Amino acid sequence: MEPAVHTGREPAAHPSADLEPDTTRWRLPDLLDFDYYVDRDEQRMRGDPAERKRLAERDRRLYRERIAAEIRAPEHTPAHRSAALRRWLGIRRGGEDPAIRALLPGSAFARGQRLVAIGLSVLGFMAGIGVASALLQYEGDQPVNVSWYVFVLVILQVLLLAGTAAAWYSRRSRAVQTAVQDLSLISHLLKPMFGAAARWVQRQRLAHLPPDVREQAKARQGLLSGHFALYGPAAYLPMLIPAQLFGIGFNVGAILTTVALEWFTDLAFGWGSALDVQPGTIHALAHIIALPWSWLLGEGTGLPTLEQVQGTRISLKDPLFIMDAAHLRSWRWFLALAVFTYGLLPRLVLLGVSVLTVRRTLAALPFTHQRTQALYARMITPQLETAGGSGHGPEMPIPGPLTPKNVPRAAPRAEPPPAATTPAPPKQAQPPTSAATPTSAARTGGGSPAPAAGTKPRPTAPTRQPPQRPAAAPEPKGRAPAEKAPQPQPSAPAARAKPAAGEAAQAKAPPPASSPTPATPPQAPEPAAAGSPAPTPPAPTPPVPAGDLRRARGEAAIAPDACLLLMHVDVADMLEPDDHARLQQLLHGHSGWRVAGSATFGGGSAMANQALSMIEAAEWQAPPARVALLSDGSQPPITETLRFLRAVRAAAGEHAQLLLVLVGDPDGDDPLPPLAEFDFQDWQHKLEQLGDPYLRLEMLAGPAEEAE
Amino acid sequence: MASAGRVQMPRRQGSSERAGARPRHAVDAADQVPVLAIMGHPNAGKSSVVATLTENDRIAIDKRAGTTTTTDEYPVIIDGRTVMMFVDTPGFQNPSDILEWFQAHADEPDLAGAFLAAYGDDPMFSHDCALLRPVADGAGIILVVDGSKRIKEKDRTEMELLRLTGRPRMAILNNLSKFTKHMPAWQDALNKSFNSVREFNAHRATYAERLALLGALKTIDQRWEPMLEETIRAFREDWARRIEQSTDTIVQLMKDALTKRVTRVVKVDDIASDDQRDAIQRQLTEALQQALRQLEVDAQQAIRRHFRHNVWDLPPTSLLAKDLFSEEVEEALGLRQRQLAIAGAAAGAVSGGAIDLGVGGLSFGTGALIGGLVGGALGVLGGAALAKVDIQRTLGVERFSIGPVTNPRFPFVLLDRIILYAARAMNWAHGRQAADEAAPNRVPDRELGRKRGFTESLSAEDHRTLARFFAAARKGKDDTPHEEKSREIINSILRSLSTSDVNTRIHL
Repeated sequence: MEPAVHTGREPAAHPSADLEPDTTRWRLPDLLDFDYYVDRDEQRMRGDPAERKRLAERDRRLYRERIAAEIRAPEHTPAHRSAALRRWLGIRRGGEDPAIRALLPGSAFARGQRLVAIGLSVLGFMAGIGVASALLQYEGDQPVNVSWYVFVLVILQVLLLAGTAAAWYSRRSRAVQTAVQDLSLISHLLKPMFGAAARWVQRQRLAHLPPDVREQAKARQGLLSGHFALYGPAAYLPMLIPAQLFGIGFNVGAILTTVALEWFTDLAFGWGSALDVQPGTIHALAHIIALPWSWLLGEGTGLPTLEQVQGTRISLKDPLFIMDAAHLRSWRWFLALAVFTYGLLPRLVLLGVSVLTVRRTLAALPFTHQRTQALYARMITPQLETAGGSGHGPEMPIPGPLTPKNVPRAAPRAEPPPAATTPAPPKQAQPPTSAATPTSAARTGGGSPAPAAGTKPRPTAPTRQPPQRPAAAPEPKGRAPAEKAPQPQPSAPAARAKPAAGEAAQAKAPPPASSPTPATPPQAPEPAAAGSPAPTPPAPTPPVPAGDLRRARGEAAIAPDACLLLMHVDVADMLEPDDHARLQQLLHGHSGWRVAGSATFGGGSAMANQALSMIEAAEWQAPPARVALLSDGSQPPITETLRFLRAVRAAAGEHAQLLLVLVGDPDGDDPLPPLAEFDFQDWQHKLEQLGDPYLRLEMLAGPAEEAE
Repeated sequence: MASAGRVQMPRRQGSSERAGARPRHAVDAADQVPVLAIMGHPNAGKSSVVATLTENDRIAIDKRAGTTTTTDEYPVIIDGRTVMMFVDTPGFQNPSDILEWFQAHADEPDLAGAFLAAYGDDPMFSHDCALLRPVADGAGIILVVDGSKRIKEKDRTEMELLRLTGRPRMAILNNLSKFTKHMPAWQDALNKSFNSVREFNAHRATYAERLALLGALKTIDQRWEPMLEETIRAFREDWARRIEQSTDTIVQLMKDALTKRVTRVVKVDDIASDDQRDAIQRQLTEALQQALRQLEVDAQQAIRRHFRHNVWDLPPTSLLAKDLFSEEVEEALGLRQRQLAIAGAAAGAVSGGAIDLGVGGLSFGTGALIGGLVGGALGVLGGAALAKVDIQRTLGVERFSIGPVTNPRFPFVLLDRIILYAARAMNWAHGRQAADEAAPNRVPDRELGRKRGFTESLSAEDHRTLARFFAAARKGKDDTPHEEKSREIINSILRSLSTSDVNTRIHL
């Protein structure tokens, strides 16, 4: 089998396709070739399933480019199917190497069929000569008996024809079918002859091929298998024409022999009967038989006259010589014409009918065998493909820090200790960041990049670590002491309380010690931390309705243990008045902060600006600023969210403590449900990229139960 | 047309990643290839929808938000011609800003284009620009929202800004969970801004549902009708062809399985005892079973390919993951005893197998048939042996052979299994790869019926036809009329599976 890759180009490779007559007519050999090609494709598909797609592409392309336009019949009709498949065959065959093409089963079979047909006609011819010369045996003592001649060469043939015709017309009836089946044993004798002849033809042709082509042909599976079978309605077709040719040969032989003998020898014809048959009866019979030609060759030539009939009656008692020689010859043309009319002509007609039948049968072949159906489907089914890329590109944009709009009302503070070894996320290198850091660090606004680099790295740590990972928790000690301070919240989950305590312990005292930047006196964080422990117990912070606080924003100074709360509208919309109390309690549990004022965000820039200006306007009793943000964690963070966080950072000041608490999507009565761990991690991942050291991320309530 | 000129500017400058991806004239020109931008905020399931609609299970889908970070085009190509295109976009990153900008520039005839002109270079808006670009180029919009969640501010923002673009638009309520209480609210909200709203579960959508969705796209822009109709037709024909191919595969599997034979020749001297003979028989039975399993796996792979699954594989809980010869499989699939008896009688009681046995012995002319033993306990299926073991002794060797399968039950079980597999393959949405099968509130798979296979519910006539086909296949006969009829039966089962006429038994 040639490489599959070639198959696609097969037809194009050999422009000899035009050798193939551009036709949609099926001939018998075409069926065999078609079978061969279909079989070959099927073998190939079975061998390699990926081949299926290639073949589908090939057949569809052939159909679209070279077949579809040529056929007028609508798709899915038998006419269309037959024509399309025939053209497909033409293209496939046209693409073959001419040497191989001669070996195709079809052409070998055609040649074999021709050989068989010629053989049968010759055989018939010989038989005709034999029978006729036997019947016309004339020794000179007895005239040739016309009756035998007529009976064997005319009556028998007519009966045979009539039987065939009767069988043909009643072929649907069961009785006839079984009878025909018995007779078709003859076809079993005949059929192998075609195959044998075709195989012989193939072998002969193969022998005359150059060795390389021969090898190629041998390598082709199925090409030389010698399998010349036809199925279904086409099965008996190869027999039809050779059978008629045999008959024609027989009759031609008989007629020629008769004529020749009559020409070259003097034959005496006569008739006789032991019955009391009147010559008139014989004459009448002869007249009837001669009806087809008597209008042309009348009495005397085409058939004997009554007198001649009387004169040729053989009576064994009478010697031959008493008869009139002219009378004795009078039957000669009658015999030849009778065989011609009743033997040869019907055979010629049958030959014509056979040719027509073959053609009609072939034209009407349904081609609905499933293998054929598959091919047809490959041709007419549009090749449907879907393509596409991976969908991977740059990650979502992470906004850089903004320059603080105003100086936070907090004591200046040094940049956080250039903590040990946190790797600097690449993102931070943006210029705005470095600008921001220095401002807060030295209050000078000088753009020294060094501190910037120092600041970034550490921040990531606190943001990243989820509350329930105690291992990670202790690390961030220096950075966000204030937030960690309030350990004894009752509402916080047990798991969280422990690490918090540990942190707090570290946070309070150690910060100055641990931070390698002793130059700057400990400022904001520590006071805040110091202040917070006192009010930590839940009791002292009675939840204040958000509405009141909102009004109060900016006016009053914000106590050291209080913060501003920014709520996302999605969450705020769901909150009932008594939910606020719970919210504040939970918040207190996380931060130790009371809520001094609140605003909403997430509803466009106006709302955001309002919130930001509230932060800017706030007077902090114990700077830096403390801002808690409450957001819906079930929605992944988007750039807009991050930008808002940046804006809050800019408004609140570089060291302001930001706490982002997330809630889940409420699906029950609880407007503040826990968040799924998965969503929380998603947020963590995104916030890490902000690289904001003073931004802490928490779940408002513990992680969702089912996520664990 | 001044604005049109501005529309093009950002394209030339800003869209290097998309340059040359598609001749934009193909979109604007009269041939009207429908381009549909799948939009929505991150994690709404846009990629799943695209993957399911285009049967592309190689689209990277990640549960994490914003996995799709670049605009990607998923054309539907019929005979090398793009007939429609889905564009998977990244999620909105700055919806509020876009909306405010749109509202501030309400007099712009082409808002999306104008926005691109203004922000095409801003890295902060790179995702937003990437997703608005197809819209500026004339794409229709399919907004994908997660119907299991409540409507958020951002959703309102996005709906409104998409409405302002003025493009034909449809919304898909992609609800992957069983929370439906927000669905009416979504319907109301979406109906205000969208030409058409459809529910579509990208993880459970069947072929029929996909086609229905494609059909619905016609309603949002009439000019697309011809192309969409062609697409739908092509999908249909392609589907019919896949079913044909699968039928072929199944029929071939049955024929291969029912003619499978395993033979082993052992020298008489090497067989010391009957125990050894038994052991050989057991090994043979095992080898036959293994061969049959392999045939089944091959057929499954073929069917999987027909339905374009590259990623999907069976869940371990499925009946399909159980051993072919396990008790559970045998219990759940195939025919019931009575049905089997009727069908078997029609098929000429091949189940007896006595004739095969006798013929087998005779065919080995010189050999003496010394035993026709049933293949031990290993091969038992429904109380009858899987196949007969034939032992013939000739010239100092014993020839053990087993097969073909004579158990009347086995072909029905095998047929049921492979149809079950096909049912799963054809109804497995391509966008499901990342589905969290363990999520507590995911949509349960389709209804749970009784645990039975497909063949059982066929008519007695069909049972007989199948049994006759199996009997003929066992004898290695090809192209019998029963085969043709059986093919038709299998084909119609598969067809009704894809149109959901028949319970897909997805639970099995």
